[in-house]
Amino acid sequence: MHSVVKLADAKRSPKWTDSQTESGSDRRFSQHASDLVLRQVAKAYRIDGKRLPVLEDINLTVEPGQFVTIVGASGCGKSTLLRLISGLERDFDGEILVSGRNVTGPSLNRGLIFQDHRLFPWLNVEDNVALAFESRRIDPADKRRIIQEHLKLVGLTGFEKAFPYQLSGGMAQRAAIARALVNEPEILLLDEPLGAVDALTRLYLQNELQRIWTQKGVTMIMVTHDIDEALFLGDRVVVLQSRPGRVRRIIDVDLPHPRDREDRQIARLKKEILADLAGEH
Amino acid sequence: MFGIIRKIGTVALRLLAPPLLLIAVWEALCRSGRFPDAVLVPPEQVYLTFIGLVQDGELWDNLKASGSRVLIGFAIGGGAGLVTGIALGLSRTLERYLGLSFTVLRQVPFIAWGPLLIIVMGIGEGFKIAIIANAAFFPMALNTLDGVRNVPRNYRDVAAIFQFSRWSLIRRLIVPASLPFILTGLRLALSRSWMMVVGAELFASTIGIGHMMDWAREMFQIDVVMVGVLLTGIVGFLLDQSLRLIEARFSTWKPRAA
Amino acid sequence: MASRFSILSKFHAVARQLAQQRGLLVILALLLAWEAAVRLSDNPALVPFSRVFAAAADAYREGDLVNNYLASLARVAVGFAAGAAAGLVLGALLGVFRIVDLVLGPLLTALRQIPIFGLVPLLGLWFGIGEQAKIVLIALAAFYPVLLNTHEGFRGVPRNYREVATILMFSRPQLLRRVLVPCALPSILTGLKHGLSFAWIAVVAAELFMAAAPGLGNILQAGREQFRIDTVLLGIVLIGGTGALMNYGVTLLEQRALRWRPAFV
Repeated sequence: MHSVVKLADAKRSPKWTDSQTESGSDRRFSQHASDLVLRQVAKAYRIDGKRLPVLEDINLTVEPGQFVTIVGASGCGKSTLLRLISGLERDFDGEILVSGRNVTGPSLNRGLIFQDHRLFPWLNVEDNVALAFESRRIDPADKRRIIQEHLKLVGLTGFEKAFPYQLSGGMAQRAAIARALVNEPEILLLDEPLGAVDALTRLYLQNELQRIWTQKGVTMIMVTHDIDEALFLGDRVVVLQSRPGRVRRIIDVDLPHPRDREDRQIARLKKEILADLAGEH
Repeated sequence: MFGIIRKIGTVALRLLAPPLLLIAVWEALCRSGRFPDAVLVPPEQVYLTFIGLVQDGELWDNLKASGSRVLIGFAIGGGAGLVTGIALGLSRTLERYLGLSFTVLRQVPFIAWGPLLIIVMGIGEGFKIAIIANAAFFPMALNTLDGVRNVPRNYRDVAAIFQFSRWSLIRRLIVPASLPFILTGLRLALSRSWMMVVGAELFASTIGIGHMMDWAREMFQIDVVMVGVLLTGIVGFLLDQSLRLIEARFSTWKPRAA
Repeated sequence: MASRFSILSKFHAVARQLAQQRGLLVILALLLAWEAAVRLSDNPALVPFSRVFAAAADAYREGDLVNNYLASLARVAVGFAAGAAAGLVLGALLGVFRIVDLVLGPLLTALRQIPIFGLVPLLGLWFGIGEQAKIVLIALAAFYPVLLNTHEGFRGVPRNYREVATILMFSRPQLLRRVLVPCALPSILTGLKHGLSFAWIAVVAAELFMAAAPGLGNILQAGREQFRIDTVLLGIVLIGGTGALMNYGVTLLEQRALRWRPAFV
């Protein structure tokens, strides 16, 4: 319902806006987070000529600066959804609008963090983060300063020259976060970023993510299969059901950040979500 | 400290054992008296011949001629192979148009191009460099192509997210990610080039290691032929080893294999 | 059943690829351009590609073609068989018995450094102008790739599988047949493939550089001496085509022998 209201005043842009204008330099690096609207988004793969729906009828509106988490069982198309929003996959039905403009390809305005850190193994931490500037013209001194700031933000000062194989999983993921943030994207997409780290590091990094989110004021959309994580971080939790992926429901979590993991309301919501997803197996 | 000495010792043994053993067996065969001098000359005779060839400068001239042919041919063929491999690996269109021609041409053993090149180019330097370049081209192109195709899709996503230009993609991702393959290709291409220079000089030439051996064969100077054989082996080995060193140098980002 | 299906589907894939092959058009266009260029120019050394077929017909009529072709095939068969057999046996011994590796390994390493064409003059002196020198060259060309890969294959047998054999109380022959050979097989087949293609190169080299004798190399040589591009091209097409066929044959063999390997494509 939320999305319907939103849609009414979302400015309709011409359908064939290209990504250049959408990420035009005037707003590319602005500090104001953009809003995101998904309207009847559907995606299907073709396997041996058969159509295999992955996502169907996804409607969602994300306000600037919100932290939205998306939970669902594996194979429900969560990651695909992020790939669509990021612009990595362009073949889908429906509309994805960022500040009223169609997404037609990747943009520096939308960062993406993968489950595997995807640092290039032949580059050290600093050079990996610098990859984010590859398509921009930027003063070397500024570049160095911004990289330093962000390494500090994620707590990696002193590891500039380390190669990925010398980092623990958690540290590598933090470097990846720095790499995704240096361009000051307005929307940060996180595809199970903590899926591959151990349980303790995971709790720690959840707090870190929350701190970074507060500090940066960036919109975060995070996919996870961990309901605790989704409820601890999300202003809104989108529950996806599988095969094909559809929005089961959207829960607004009206609790201030940072949250108490033992909060009663969180426990109650967790039970509800578990019940929602239980019917699937 | 002790460990280092032992390590140097092992390496030295590994490097020295093959030639020493070879010389020992060779000497033993000569002393057995079953082979006439026209067939097998003893190591010291070959050594004396080698010194003689060094002293009158003939050996050096021949080596220089062969070496420069290899370097030029290898540089041209290897460079073209690298570019071709990357281009075919990155562009589906190019692959679709040129892939088949590439596959067809690849089937012809490099030596078989010799006579054709001689008819077209004559028997001068141009022909020798062309046939060496051709021998270097395919191993380089094939390995590079393999490398480019093996660049993980995941990394390509990163490049897409950060909107890499084509040049950035090649420089920051494709080349470094396929470097192990490229270096293997380089090593193969260099050893093929060295092999082919001898072949090219057997076709026709007035100078070069291959020419020296061929001429000595006609004169029945088996000692000179054996100097040539040993020399081609040693130079080939050194070329290969130097590229292996470069290979090791360029893979610092890989954790040392246990 | 399964293999028949896969051959069928492979056939379809090849057919589909051919249908979409713009590459074929490129080749045809190049040949046409050549033909046109030759007809327009008046350089006598240049001949149209279509002359290659005429050259083939001529050579066939004179009976040379078949003789030359069979001579090369016979040479590669004998030389490859000898070299590969030696490579297999020695490689296996080297891989299984450490002592053999310690004694013979360094010697073989030293000899291996010599590029195959470098041996041409020496073998010429040793074995004279007859068939023997050629066969030895071809056998040596096949020998090293087979030796190296067989050695590698046997040495690389995982300890885990040896332990299974120990637990099951395998005898030595059983160990060889049930564990070592299957484990080494992928590597051995790679060696045979490389060995065969090197043997084929050596056949051409032997026929070009050593004393004249019937063979495909002889066609190349004759064409070169008579400045006949068409004859040389005929030789190149035959040599390349035969090499490709042999390679394809070994690949099929490889696929059949390694069906159990899931990653094999």
